[in-house]
Amino acid sequence: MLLKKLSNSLTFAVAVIMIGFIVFAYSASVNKVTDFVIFCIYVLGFDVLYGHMGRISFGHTLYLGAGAYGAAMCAKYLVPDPFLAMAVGIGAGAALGLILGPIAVKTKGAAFALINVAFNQIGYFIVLVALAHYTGGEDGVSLDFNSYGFVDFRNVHFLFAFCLASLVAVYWLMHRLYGSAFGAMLLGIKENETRVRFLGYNTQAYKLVAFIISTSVSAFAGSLFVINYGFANPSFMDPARNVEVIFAALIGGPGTEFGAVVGGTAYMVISNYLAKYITRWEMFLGVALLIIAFGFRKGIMGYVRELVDKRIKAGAITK
Amino acid sequence: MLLNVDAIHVHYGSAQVLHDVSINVKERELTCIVGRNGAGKTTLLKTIGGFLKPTRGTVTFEGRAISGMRPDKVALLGVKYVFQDKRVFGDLTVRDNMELAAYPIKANVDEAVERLFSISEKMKRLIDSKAKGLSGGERQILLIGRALVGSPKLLLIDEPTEGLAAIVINDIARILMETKGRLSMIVVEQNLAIVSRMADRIYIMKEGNIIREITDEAEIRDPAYIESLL
Amino acid sequence: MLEVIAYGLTIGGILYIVSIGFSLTFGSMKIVNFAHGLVYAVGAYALYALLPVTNGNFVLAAILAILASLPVSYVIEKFVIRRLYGKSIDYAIIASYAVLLIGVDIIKWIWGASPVPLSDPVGVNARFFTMEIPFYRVIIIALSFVIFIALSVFFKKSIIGKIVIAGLADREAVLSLGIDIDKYFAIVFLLGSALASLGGILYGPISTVHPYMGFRIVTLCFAVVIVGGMGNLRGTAIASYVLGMVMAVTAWYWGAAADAMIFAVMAGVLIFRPIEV
Repeated sequence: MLLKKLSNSLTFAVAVIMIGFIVFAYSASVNKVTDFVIFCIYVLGFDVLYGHMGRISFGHTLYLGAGAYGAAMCAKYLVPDPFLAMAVGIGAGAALGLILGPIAVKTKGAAFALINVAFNQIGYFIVLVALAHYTGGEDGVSLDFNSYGFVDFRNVHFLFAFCLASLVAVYWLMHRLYGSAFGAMLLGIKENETRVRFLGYNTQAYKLVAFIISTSVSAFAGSLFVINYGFANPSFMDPARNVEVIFAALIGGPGTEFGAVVGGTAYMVISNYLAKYITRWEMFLGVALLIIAFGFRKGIMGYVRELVDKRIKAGAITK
Repeated sequence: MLLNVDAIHVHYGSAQVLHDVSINVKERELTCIVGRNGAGKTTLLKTIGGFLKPTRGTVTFEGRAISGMRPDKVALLGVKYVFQDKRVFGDLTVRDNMELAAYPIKANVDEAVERLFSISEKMKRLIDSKAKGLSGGERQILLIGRALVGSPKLLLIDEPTEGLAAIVINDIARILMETKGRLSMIVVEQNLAIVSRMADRIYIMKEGNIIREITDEAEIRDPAYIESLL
Repeated sequence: MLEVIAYGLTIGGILYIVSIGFSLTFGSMKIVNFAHGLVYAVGAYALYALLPVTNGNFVLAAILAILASLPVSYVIEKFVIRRLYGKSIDYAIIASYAVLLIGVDIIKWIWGASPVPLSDPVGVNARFFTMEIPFYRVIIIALSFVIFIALSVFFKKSIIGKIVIAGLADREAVLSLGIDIDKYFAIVFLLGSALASLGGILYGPISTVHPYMGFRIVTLCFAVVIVGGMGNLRGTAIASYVLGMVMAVTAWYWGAAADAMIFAVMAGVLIFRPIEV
């Protein structure tokens, strides 16, 4: 019993550490920490597909970028209202998910990874070249958002608070989602889709819904990035940057909401601070990925859970 | 005793599919394994062939433990597996199929092809055709011919007569009977008439267990009796 | 117009040479081998490094460069692909991606992030009817045809080729004959990798040689394999030349869209012929 409490309090402890970190870094650079928070939302979106449906996509920046450009285009050509921009961004992500999803979710494994790459490349080309007139091409667009009294996104503190609240909201939503029947269905599909289909469920529909959720959440993160930076440019959709979110999901531990957040923070710390000390930090990333692929598959949270489970078992036996 | 399967347990993931299964196969004996769908017959065959690893128990061939050995190593010891579904190497010719069978054991391809012809005249006409153009019965004959290359000691054959017309079934049965004298065979079969005709020993499986071993001649030759036990 | 066709065939030829190995690995082990792009880049960079050593002798440098890339592919096959193949396809993909990342960074470390100069070794133009194209491109086209024929013969006539074809279709059956199919897949992997480095060597002089060229070629290989069919040798050939043409024609009208058009075709193929791996 004590150990059960320990495992819960362990999660609690890690949460405290994270919040503490945020508070500490807050005093250093609010903008940076806001970045961290938004990135975690992105990883949560990605993990719907990876950790919970078992499909790895090498083209998820498409949706991050879609959210970013959706928000940016709304701000530039419609009204620079941050909430509308967010809505348009999420809508763009959802729409893309709805259109591309039916094609993508028919596949798995290597094919799934590749199809998403193709879509990502096309999207990147569209924002970089095809619609450069509207998107500003390589330079992107810079934006100014409206403010309403204290709801002022230009105020770094408000922005941070809003993003943190968003993260908590998305986190909670994911938690509810995974704990629900829908979440159980996804896990079943991940483990043995044929069996679930034989039981009479329309797995295609479930997969599509999960896909759209994933793209929408990622797009939401994209729109938040735009509000945070005040500009949007093609790097949001750059296919080469997919490694960031994949790494984050892996290192935190795929399949758990907390793992996504831990991984997101870990990656942000590495890319922001480690880069200062190790110039060849990209190689470090590659090596880390290799180590994970060979041994450390469950990530930080998985490792922590295992430790805790072992302790619980040991405790139960000695009783 | 040529082959000895001793109290094996086999799992697919966490589900147990074979429970405490033991069978014995003597030299130059044709053993049939019968049972309803899902009884575990193919699983047993695959475990002997090395495609599955038992979680408990041992498989011994000619005194040597082969449980957990790689399937290609098991094949080189003289145990050849003939899969269900009559899968041949479709894009290769019949001759190519035989060539592949001869290659790992350095057997003479022409001799192997001649042997195939002696099993079935039909093959002479088909020898240079792509295997995917063969009918079900012709494929089965090719598969058996392939497995016989290099004079193996034990054949593991999974449902050879499944989906075939009566005339063709007779053909296959004839071939198996002719082969019987030269080596041992374990044949998984649902066609009880054929089983009765050719078996020296029958094992009945149900839900992953061996429920009966029949060695009495009279009982073997009585398909209705066997059916009643399933 | 003829020039466009010639350029299309050149790109198609390069795509074919590089994609064959990728397609075979995909078909035999169901692994997307990102590291394939690394061997391609290594070929180009090795050529660049060896040309001064051979005093400008292109052919000699090319041969040495291919030889230099073999240890790289051997290590990748032995320590990454073989370890993870069969156990977890997803992690094999991630691991191969990691290898590409590390390799690219090492290349950046040694040669810097800017493109290195490699030029057309022949330098003369050939005349066909009304058009004039660099003779070097003619060589590439011819070489790709030769390789296509050689591979076709290899897979149809040689015993290793037949084993691989059988293994691609039915791995278990090949095992049941007593053949260690994985050993042959490994041989084919090395062959495919050697071809990848050859592709990098051939294309280097007429394109930009930069550290990220491996990423680019791998994504193009994806397209070829998806359009042509995984592990399908003839399909890979047809898809390579078709996509090469698409690139050349697109580049003629709208230069920057060439790559993206390939992906549009790939997406189009996927919509009408969805694959289930």
